[in-house]
Amino acid sequence: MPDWCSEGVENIVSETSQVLLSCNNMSAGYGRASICDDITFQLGLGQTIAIVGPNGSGKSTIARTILCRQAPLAGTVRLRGAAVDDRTAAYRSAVSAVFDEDAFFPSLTVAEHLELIARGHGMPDVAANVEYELSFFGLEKHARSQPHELSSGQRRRVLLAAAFIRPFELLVLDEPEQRLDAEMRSKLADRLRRTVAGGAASALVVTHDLELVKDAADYYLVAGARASMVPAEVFQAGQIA
Amino acid sequence: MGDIYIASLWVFVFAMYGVALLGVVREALTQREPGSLDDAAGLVPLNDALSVSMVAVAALGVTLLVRMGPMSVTGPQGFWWLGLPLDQRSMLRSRYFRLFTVAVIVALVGFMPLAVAESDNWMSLLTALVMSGLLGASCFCVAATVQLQRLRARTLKVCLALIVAAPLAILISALVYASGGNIDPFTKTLQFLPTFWPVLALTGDAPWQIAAPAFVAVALWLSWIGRRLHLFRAEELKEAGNASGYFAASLYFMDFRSAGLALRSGSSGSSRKPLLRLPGITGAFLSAIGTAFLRTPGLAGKTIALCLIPAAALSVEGISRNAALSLSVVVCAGIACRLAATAAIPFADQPALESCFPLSAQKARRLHLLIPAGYLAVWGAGTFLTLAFFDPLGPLLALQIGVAIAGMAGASVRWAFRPEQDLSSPRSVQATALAGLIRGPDAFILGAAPLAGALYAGQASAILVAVQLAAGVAAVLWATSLPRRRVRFEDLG
Repeated sequence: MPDWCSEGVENIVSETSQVLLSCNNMSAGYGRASICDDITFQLGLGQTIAIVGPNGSGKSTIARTILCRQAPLAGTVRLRGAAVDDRTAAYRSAVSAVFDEDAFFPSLTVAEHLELIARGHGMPDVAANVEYELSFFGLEKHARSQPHELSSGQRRRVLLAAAFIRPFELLVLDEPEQRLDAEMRSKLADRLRRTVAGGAASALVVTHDLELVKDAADYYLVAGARASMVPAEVFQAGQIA
Repeated sequence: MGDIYIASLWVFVFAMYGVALLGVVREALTQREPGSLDDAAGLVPLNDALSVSMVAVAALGVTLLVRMGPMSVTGPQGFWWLGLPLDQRSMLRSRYFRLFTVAVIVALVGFMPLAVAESDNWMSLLTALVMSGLLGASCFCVAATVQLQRLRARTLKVCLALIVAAPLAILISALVYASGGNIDPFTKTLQFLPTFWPVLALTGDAPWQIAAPAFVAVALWLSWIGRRLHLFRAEELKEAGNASGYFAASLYFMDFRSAGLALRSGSSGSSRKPLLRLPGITGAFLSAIGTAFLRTPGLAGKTIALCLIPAAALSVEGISRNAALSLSVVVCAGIACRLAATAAIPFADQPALESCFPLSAQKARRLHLLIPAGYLAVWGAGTFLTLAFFDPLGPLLALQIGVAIAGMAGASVRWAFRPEQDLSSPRSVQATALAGLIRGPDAFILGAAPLAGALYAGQASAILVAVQLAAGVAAVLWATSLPRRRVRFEDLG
């Protein structure tokens, strides 16, 4: 293991930050076959962890296991101190996630999607919020289109807009850069940094695009048979070197 | 020269049919006495009802064929073959004849029980089966022509309109008969159509003189399409291949949930109907599922047909009134129940959708009951008010119907949340296949049995209502119980 890698949890969450998500000795995999073992970290509010690694190293598997989308093999994951359970209202209120799947309400237009999600979370001034997200993600011209009428990149933007329009404490993005153009990636990186910088939310971002998380990531979780947590400065210095 | 020859034959065949049709209409108009008030029982003769129903059955067959292509290629064929600079006709010919044969066999097998039950001798049985095969072949030719001419959306609308029109036509006929009117020219015209020929053969009125030209006509039609196999668009063939392959694979694995998805119309609902805007968090959730449901393509037409069919069945002469009522109500309730499940199916397919709202999975599941309950209440009101027009219902039966509808809403949600096929081990394949087959229909049958009993008996009893209530509660509890996860963080911790 390189000497800049560190395992353990103590040094990740600063003393002033509240622990939002804690992962302890988690193993992720399929059936009985483990892909990543001993994943341990704590994520505080206002922090971002980027999950990186080559194809097949288990990045998305880690994220999916943390969010209960697949069965864990070992370990514990806690959200605000309680075992993560994606069926509870508290979890659904706190976690906003975008995975690589086109999950859209049938027959609803892009604007209607955003409106209902915003209203579902009791957002004030829904119309203005919808307008802002449509504008931010470049979807104004497609507000009245149904998602299946859009290109894959535009559908990706709709999913991201739906994730950002609602309040959340934990934002989980699985390779959000997929199918986005360079300009949108840059805007998304900036939005991610601003969102977490407020200190009211945290992010877990699975990515191959290190530029996307360069300014936002506090730690990098390098996926693999033995996943390791690396502070951003150390990881980025290692990349430059 | 070949085209001129075929065109001439077409003109000849159609001219013969036209002359014969005119003859039948003229005969009906001139020779038949108008109905008198004495026989104004409001009942439609069985043959008239069958002539209408067979049009609807053929429309249903064409709908299924159009949904699956009918012409298609598999993924590898689409990728490797269609791009090659070869004549597409030689590639598609064997598949074309295979699909045609399947359509004929399905029609034969489908009509076989009626033919065996009703035929007097071997000759009428044979003629009826030949005619039913020709009907299947005609449906295939219609669907292939529609695909060739790219008229898919319009044809599906026409087919739905024919299916809706069938019970309506029977009910109107009943009213016309009841008022001493005569609609013979209309039904006689329908009886001349190829859709009625299998029935005509059973009565001995459709000799080989009709079967032979029909056979020639279908053969010519088949040949006409066969010469144009190169005109089927590659994209359409691949798309149809995906749908039919998905359907066939689903049936092979007995995954009936996926089979239903494969047959689902590719068209999404129109967003012309306004978005529901119910207040609050639950209101937003209900708005999402309610709006999507109200925008389901063809919802109004299907609902009207489902409301009219039981009353139409009641209006047919020569069949047991109570048996027809009981059977038609149960069948229509089952279809309505399945239709009501369309609101929840996307949530079962994409659990991420439900996570967009800050509601627990348990509460969301309970809320899913409301849309089917509302829809089935509308269907129930439409059905039983139409029936009450002919035969008033007692208060106890009305109560039982209300209880039954609540239970059916539970069955509908249980139907929507059938488990996905788990292919991880032979045992799990078996278990999920069975669950996919029976989950939903089980709760529906449990709830429909007491109602069917009451309708067959012609009255409800306190015991039947109590059984109905118990069945309804069981269906709702089944529908709202969430499956336990095999492994959870709580267990590991």
